[in-house]
Amino acid sequence: MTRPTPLLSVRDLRIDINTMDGVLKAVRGVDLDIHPGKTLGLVGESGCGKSLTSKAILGINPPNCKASGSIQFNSAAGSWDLLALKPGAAEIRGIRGRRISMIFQEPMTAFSPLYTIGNQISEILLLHVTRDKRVARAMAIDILGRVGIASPEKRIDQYPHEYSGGMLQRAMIAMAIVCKPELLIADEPTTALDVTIQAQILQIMQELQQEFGMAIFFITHDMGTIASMCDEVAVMYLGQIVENGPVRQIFSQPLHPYTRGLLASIPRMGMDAEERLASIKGQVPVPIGLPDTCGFYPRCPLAEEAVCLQAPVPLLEIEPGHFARCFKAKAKGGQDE
Amino acid sequence: MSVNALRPETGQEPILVTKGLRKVYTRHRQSLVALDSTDLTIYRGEVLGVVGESGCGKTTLGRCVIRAIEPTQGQVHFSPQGVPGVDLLALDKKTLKEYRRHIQMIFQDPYSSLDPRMTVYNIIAEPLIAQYRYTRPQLEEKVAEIIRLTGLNPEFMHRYPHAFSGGQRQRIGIARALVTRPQFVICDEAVSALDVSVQAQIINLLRDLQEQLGLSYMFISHSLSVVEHLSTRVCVMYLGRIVELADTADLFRTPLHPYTEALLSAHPQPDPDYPSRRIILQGEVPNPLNPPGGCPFHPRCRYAVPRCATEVPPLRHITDRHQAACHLAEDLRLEGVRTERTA
Repeated sequence: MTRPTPLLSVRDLRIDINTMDGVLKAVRGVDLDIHPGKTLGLVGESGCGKSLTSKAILGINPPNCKASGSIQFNSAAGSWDLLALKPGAAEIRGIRGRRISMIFQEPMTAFSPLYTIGNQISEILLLHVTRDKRVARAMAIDILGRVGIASPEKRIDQYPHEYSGGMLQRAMIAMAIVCKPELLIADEPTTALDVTIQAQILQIMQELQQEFGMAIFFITHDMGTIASMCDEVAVMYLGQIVENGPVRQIFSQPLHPYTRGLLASIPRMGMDAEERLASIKGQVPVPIGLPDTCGFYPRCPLAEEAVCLQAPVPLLEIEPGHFARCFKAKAKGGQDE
Repeated sequence: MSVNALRPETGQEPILVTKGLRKVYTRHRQSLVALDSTDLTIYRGEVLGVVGESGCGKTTLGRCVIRAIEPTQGQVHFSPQGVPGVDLLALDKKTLKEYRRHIQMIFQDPYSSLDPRMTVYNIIAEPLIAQYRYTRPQLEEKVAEIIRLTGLNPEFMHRYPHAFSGGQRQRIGIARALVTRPQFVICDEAVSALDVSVQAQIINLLRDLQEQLGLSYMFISHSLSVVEHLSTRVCVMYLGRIVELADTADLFRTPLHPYTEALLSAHPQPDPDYPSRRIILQGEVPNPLNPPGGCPFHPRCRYAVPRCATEVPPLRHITDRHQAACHLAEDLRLEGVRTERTA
């Protein structure tokens, strides 16, 4: 299947963290493609490496994280390998906030409490778009109105503590999209919010995506938001992508036992209350000194030593466009591929 | 209704009844009504789910019931088996302490709710030491028993909390709450901090323990799907009030309050083909220091009529087993969760 050039291609991304107990392999060879105007969801549990992966794109991981591999960014303005750029150098700073921007999980801590919301939005505009403070202010007011903040001309001069959590998240989205980036990275953008506010924020993100045509890299642990937001989904476990494919296929025919376990363990509204939740036995191991073979083996219901532990499992294309990192994964119908 | 009234349909006895429970915080001459005249009955052996968004008063409700915070007004009638029923709010400290062995709480955060300087044994034994006079071997036996019941390995009971994962710590918190063998347990967001695969383990554990030990729960959570899964009945709160109360299936399939309808529709279903008809509520929860007049929900309600702005709707029985606080409850045809996927 030929596809258009991805906007962002991550290849063999590895992130090692030096700890007192040894080298922690937090990300172990991640490949991802994000296409222009589409939404890719990255889902996984705490500590699977999803946030490190997203932050590596912008080069904002702490210095003790050593990243290797490549992150090819094919922007309208040129192509770069983001990993090869020096952190803090002019090139990456011209990309951050301008062509790729990010929304963080905690709107309450992502803003500086010392500056007004208007100052913080204008700062990006003054850096990338204009030198005229009045123009920047007008643009900031306009964008605040667009994300649904009432009377933005008044709100712009307020400080973060005068905003509620939902409004701050809107302001953060405003800040992230004010330069019309090609890629928006959203790292758990609604996890800290109540469900009715979450619905508002997700709707705004979808509207803005349609309007500006940006791609969204949506990171979350919540299968529910993934289902309503994404075109494609990558499931991450223990620093690796274990399954990757179109959202419908992931939900209707999950191939990897971890994805299946994850889906089965969510209580769903409307499901029979007498049903017991399936849970995945055991817990996620600490990724220090792990073998290269399947990381899910100790918790897997399908585990079979003779098959699973023979070699490192590659990401196998089980169905067209639908990949799983499992030797036992089979396409629908049950025949081997 | 008398505090000992049996549930007409099932003949269950109430274990806990609140009447006019109210909590008002006053500061700088402003008063914030965190919990407004709440009447609730929880029957023996049932799980009452309490859902609502941040600041709706659900945690305040749980804490007022156990007197972790002192309510401003009201009564909490508690009738455990084998001891005389009492109004918890009228008890002196000493008697309250004796009753606390029958009513316990499980907290949200498995990290901050366990003292890092105490071993697991000491954490779990503490309520027993406070309540009873056991010898050391008796204590060890009781602690080991509850540890096994909550799915932990008693060999590790002399370790400290940092040696355990989030899910294991939550099991320790559950063991601590259950070691005095309470009859009534308040679970305040007990699974919210956990990852889904571990969350499922703890939900199953809470359910098994409820059946084995005949517990009654007040299960407080913001997560509709978790509440639906665990609860016999559910109450929905908004700005310090109960706006709807019904049997779980009833409330989720045929909600009678517009706020419940909006909550249900906003909950993202893990199914890309779920026919989403998300109702996007306008605005946010009003400031509780300055709540709107009339129905607290009317500024965000799409069905509001002029009457809603002036008259507070009381929580009333719409059918035998379904209460709602909405003037229009009989007339609206609200949409609940669809169980069968529409093709």
